[in-house]
Amino acid sequence: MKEYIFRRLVLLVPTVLGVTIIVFLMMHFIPGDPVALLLGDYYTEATAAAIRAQYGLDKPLHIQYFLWLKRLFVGDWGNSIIANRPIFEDLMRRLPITFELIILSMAFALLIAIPAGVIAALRPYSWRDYGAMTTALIGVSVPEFFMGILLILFFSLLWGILPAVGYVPLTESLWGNLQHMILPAVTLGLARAALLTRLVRASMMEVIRLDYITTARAKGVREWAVVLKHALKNALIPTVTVLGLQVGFLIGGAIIVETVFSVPGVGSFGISAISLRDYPQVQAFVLLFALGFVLINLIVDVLYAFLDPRIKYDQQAA
Amino acid sequence: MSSEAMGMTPATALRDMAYEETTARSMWLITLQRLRRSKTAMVGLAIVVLLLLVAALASLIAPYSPTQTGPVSISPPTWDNLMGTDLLGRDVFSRVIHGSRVSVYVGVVSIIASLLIGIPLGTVAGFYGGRIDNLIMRLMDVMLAFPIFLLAIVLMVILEPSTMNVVLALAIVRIPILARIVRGSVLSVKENEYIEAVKALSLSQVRTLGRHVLPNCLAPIIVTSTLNIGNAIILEASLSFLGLGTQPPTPTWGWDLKQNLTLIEINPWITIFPGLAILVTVLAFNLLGDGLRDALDPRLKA
Repeated sequence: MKEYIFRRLVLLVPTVLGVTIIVFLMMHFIPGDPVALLLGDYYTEATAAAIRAQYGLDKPLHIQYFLWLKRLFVGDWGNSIIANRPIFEDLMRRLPITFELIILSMAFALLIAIPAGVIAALRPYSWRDYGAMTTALIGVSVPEFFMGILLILFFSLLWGILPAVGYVPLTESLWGNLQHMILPAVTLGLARAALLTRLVRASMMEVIRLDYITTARAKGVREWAVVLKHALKNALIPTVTVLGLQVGFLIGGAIIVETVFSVPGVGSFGISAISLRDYPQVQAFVLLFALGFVLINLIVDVLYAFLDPRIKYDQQAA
Repeated sequence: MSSEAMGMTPATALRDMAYEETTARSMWLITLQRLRRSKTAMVGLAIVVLLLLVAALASLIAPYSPTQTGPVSISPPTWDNLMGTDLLGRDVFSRVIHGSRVSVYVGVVSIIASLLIGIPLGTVAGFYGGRIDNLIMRLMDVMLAFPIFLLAIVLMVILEPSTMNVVLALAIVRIPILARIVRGSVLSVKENEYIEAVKALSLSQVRTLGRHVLPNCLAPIIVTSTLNIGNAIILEASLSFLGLGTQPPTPTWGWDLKQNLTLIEINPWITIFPGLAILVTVLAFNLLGDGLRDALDPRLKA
């Protein structure tokens, strides 16, 4: 297993490099001249040339890339054109908020999906099963922004029990923080919950047919232990494999959900940067989310190595 | 494992190929029959057909022009305006009907475009293997290192927001996964003996690919493509919601929803109806895709 983890870590390097190359190139493909944008009304050929020399824009592309990469490493992720502030600080301030949103959404999704999927699988083709599957199907078909709007409509505007927008830091008030995060987290998590329910149900139904389950039952193991300890543990393995992909959807969805609920995270940061054409900010935003995704996939892959006994046995046999 | 040792001779290989040809034709019939058995899939199919009709005949069906402003703004549903009017007095019902054109166009065309590029890519990678396979898959992996929606947003920032560019961006975003699926299918089929037999007969490689490798990969492609159309519609709506997609005044469900969102306390209906349109449309494609998946599932072949 150590070999698998090592190989996986080694694969990390070209992936990260590839991501940085794409993000770097992305900036260069944006239409318009960044120097003209920067100087605005003060644009003259001389000043433009001076700015280009100062930012190293007159050097060949690969040199620019390495200089940019070097700056990233020391924490210089550029300055916002609009606010004229280092971007890194703003990003780091907003990152925990987005992180909290993603964690809460995932927790909510798993909390709903695993019980629902198990219950549906244990009584297939019953009304419980059809109910769960229909709800799940609708959940996958709703766009996240619409779901968010519907939740705001009912819980904020109609019944007034939860706030629609805004954010309260955890350090200020736990309850305030949760109050503002519930609707965004539920919105983001519902689509994932829907998909995961279908997955858990499908793999649970497969696992429960297998011989070792019948053996366990024959040995007199109590039903709940059969279901939870033996069946569920193995049924969850396919769920873990798609977990990384699901987090990718969570990251993408966080962009929309933060916009709808005005959560001051990295996602809304990126969207406002795009609308303000603050391209250094856009670049930093894309880079952060992409790198985060790569990291999460790595963690999930390593986690999967611990869970899948086949990988363990491969190593032992070798 | 030579072909002769497996009992394959050119004669038996030809016989098998002929058998494949006849059974291949009835495969479509069987699939259709099994599809018809699923009520939910039929409902999905019906809604999809209805949607296509609405999109095609939008100008005839819509009571008003979608861009024509009117005297009554932000009105709730009335007999004159079945879904109400927006801030500029435009009939929301007509805008929703015309909005279907963008959704259908983007959904279907982006998926077709991704198929046109993704299938050859995956086939070449799987069939030839080696360095080409490595190169193509590395490129696909780097693209897959980005969350899909993020990649779509990045592409729309680079390309100016417009419907055509949304189609392009959504097609590009689909290609890596599609290429992977196709490559996987090709790899599993490549090992089959009858491909060895065909090769032994020295048929041209393109014919091998076209006639024998591809039809077996077709099933997962059909299923994922149908489901992906629904996905593409959601992505288009999301991009338009953020202002990165179809630009006003062209009616599109995503942007209309966003526009009318600011008036939600006065009139929630004009926000809800575009959203419902998206929901029903995507649901239909998902029902159809699920039904196709079950109908094409080889394990259920009796």
